[in-house]
Amino acid sequence: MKTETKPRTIAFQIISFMFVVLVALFIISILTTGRLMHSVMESNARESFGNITKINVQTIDQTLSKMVILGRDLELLIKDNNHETDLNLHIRQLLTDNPEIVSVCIAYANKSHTFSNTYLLQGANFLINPSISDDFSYKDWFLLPKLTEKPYWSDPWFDSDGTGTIVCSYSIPLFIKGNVEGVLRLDTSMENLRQIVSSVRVKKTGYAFLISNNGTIVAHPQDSLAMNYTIFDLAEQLNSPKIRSIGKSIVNRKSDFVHLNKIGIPANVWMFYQPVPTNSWSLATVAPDREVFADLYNLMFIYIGWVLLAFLIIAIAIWYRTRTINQPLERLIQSIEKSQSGVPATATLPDSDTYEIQVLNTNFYRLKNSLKKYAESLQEVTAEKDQIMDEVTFASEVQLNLIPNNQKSFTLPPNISAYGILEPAGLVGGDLYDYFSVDDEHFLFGIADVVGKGVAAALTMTMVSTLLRTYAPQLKQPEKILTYMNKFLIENNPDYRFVTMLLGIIDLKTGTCTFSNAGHTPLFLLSEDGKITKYAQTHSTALGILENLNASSETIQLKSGDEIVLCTDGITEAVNQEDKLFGTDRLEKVLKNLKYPEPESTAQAILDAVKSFADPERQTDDITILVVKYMNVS
Amino acid sequence: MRSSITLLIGIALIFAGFCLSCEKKTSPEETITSQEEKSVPPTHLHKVRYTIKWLHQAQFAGAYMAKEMGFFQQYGLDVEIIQGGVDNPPYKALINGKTEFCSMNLITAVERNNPEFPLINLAQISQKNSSWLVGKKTTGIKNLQDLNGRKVGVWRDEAGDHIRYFLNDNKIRAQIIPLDWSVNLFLNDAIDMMNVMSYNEYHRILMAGMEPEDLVVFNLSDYGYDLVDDGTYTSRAYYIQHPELCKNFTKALIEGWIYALNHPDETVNVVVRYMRDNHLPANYNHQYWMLNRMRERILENPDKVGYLNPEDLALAEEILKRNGKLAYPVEYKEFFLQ
Repeated sequence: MKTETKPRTIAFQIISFMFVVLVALFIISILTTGRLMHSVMESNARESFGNITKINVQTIDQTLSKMVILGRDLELLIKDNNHETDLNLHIRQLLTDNPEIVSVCIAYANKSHTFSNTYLLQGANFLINPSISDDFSYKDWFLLPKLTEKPYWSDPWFDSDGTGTIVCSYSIPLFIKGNVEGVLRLDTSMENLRQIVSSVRVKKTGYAFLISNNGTIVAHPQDSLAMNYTIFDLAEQLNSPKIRSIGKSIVNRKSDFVHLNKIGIPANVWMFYQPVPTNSWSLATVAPDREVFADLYNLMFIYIGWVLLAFLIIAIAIWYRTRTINQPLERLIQSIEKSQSGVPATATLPDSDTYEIQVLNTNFYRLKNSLKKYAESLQEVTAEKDQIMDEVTFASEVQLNLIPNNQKSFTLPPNISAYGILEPAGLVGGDLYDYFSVDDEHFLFGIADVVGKGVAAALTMTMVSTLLRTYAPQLKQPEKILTYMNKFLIENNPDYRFVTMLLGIIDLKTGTCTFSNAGHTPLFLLSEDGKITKYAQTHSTALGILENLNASSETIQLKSGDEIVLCTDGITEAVNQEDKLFGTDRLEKVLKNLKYPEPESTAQAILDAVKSFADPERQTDDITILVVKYMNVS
Repeated sequence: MRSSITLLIGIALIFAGFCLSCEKKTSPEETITSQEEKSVPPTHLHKVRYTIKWLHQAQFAGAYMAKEMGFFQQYGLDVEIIQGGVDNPPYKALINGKTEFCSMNLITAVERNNPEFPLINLAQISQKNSSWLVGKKTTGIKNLQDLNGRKVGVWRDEAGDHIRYFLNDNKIRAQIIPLDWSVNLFLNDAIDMMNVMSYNEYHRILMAGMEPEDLVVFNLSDYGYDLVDDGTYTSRAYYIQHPELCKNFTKALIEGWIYALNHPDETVNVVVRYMRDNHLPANYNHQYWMLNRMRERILENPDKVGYLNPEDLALAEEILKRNGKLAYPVEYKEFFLQ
């Protein structure tokens, strides 16, 4: 079912169309620009994070590399077997000059002597603390360089023999005769490193954290993580293979800029990590997504704002402009609506600077004038048509008066009854039926069909009717009458309109009926006993075609009660909706079904049958029926 | 769920055993059923000390939860949980009267047991061996014999005794490096292999970025060393003086374990709190992992929770005997009171 579309104004249609187009453009634009900008900002973030990380890695590394250099110097001093007093002085000076180094330890563990001295400054006092715990030989800072014979950077640990704080140590193996017998250790405060890390600010809330070479988080703004978790613990707790993979990359001393999803609060972060060259720890800087891409988000918000504003401005502009353009049209529509005739003489378009409106204006004036002239012409034509119609109506009345009046049955001989029907397709028709007494003993009946329709056919019919009435009493024989009428038509019918005609004369005394058929539909004889006889033979061609017409005739003996049924092709050639003709067979069937037929009832039955059969839209021919009944009164 | 129910049944059997024992060896005046004690918490609490084998961690979660949930209190006990480790070996604390109860490895207890200071196993908490030797595959070690001449890190003192016996029994001539608790020597390739507890150091190695497939593991159980470890001990002398108290301590401790295993999240929070209070590195992930491994160890024989299998005792004695360390053979019935 087709739904009726609600009409929309031009402004609405343009604005909605523009909105769709703008939204499409905006989406394409935001996707391409957003992606591009995202890529640019990611690249910038990588650089920015990298710079922050590198600077702080350098700061941490300065302290650590200084420890390495000082440690090597001290190692050489110890190897030179300097006097203990000199060594103490040197260490004191070292601690004074380098506050990053909070303590120094020299430890030996072998079968002959096991001792460990920790040197530190407490205010202005230089302290030498012998190890009070005997387990230093099991600690990483001692055991690792001893076993590997290489310097070792320890994880942060609590030095109870020294400063009593958490320190990070650089241990150097001390060789005696090629064997590692002792370890020299330099300590820096973990607090110093933690302060460096905690001072790092990335974006707004971003931070840095320090990871040891076995993945332990050694400095982190979140105290519960520092020294408690490895990055792999976090990966397992968060069930994140990606973090574990990053952890491996970190302990393998690699550097990268990575994105992490759904890792807690904030859920999504960017992270840059880089190893500290000296001790292979790594510094990582982290900031949430929303801060890394804050500028992009702001840009997008501004962009969306501008697009909405632009749309609003465009919509207002379109609405205003279309309203200006529409105003003349609306006024015209209003003036047309107010006018009863639909073409108001006062309907005008206001002046407009719009080209289309100007063209419309010009054409509208032209149309208006044309319509005005057309209306005047139409009035004249209508008047003429009315006059013609009056005349045709008059002609129709005249024509109808030419055929016998069924109501005047008293004019008929006593043994004859007749009934005729003529229904022209237009106001006037080309069909004719007629019957009258030629003299006291002879009764004439006839039916004719002039080719064509309208006034010309009607005038021809009038001519035929007049001729019939004039010459029948003189000629008295049907074939002679037809021959004469043919001659007249040939001579006086410039349009060569031919006429089919069936003419018969009944001898009232004997009951014989002589008839002649000039190209007309057959004659049917309906006996009182219901027998139907069809006389289809024609006795000449139609009238008005051949100059020398040799018409013949046929004589039949009528019995009392016989009905002669005549009709034009308006009956037999009536067409129904399935393009089928009514035909003579259906006519015979109608006649067969008649009970106690009388001319009027017979004619009416035929007419009813044809009308119920035929498609009224296609009934273009005149319908004429004539029924004559003979009764033997003797 | 099924294991929890079985565990409860097991505990009920143990309790029943203790109750029967009480009836036999104590006077009617001294006998107070656990139900009576629990229904009416005593106003006067008996102060006792429990020295754990190592530093605070989920390995001893049952004790924390028994204290936290008031199980000790319900049995009339005010228990102080004291850290052990190399600075405070549990046996030394017990013999010096610094603790009334302690946890020790079975083999340590059997080795230390002597007629002058006989020990009582109140409950064998761990039902499974947890000692492994772990190395990196990159060392090329594939079987035990490959350890010959290699550096093997073994915990110093009593914690590593059974590893030394194991190497000796298998005739491994390795360079044994006495270790403290760090895994850094292993991670930094200073040693080729080290001994670990499956519930602790093994996970710490994994949490330093190692993958299980990168490691070669020798589970001592696979070499006839299916030694059960953590047990709860007291001295026979103390037990004779306070039999009811000892049984109540054991019941409360096992109830604490049942609660801990059934409430892992809550338990790990308590464990981490203990660790932080004692300035120990603590993380939820590792302690959760450890508690789950403890579940496997404790519920190895779900219907015999806390029960010391005579065969386990026999194995410990046999190992010590082989290594010349069994000075005084232990009589099972006198060592473990059912």
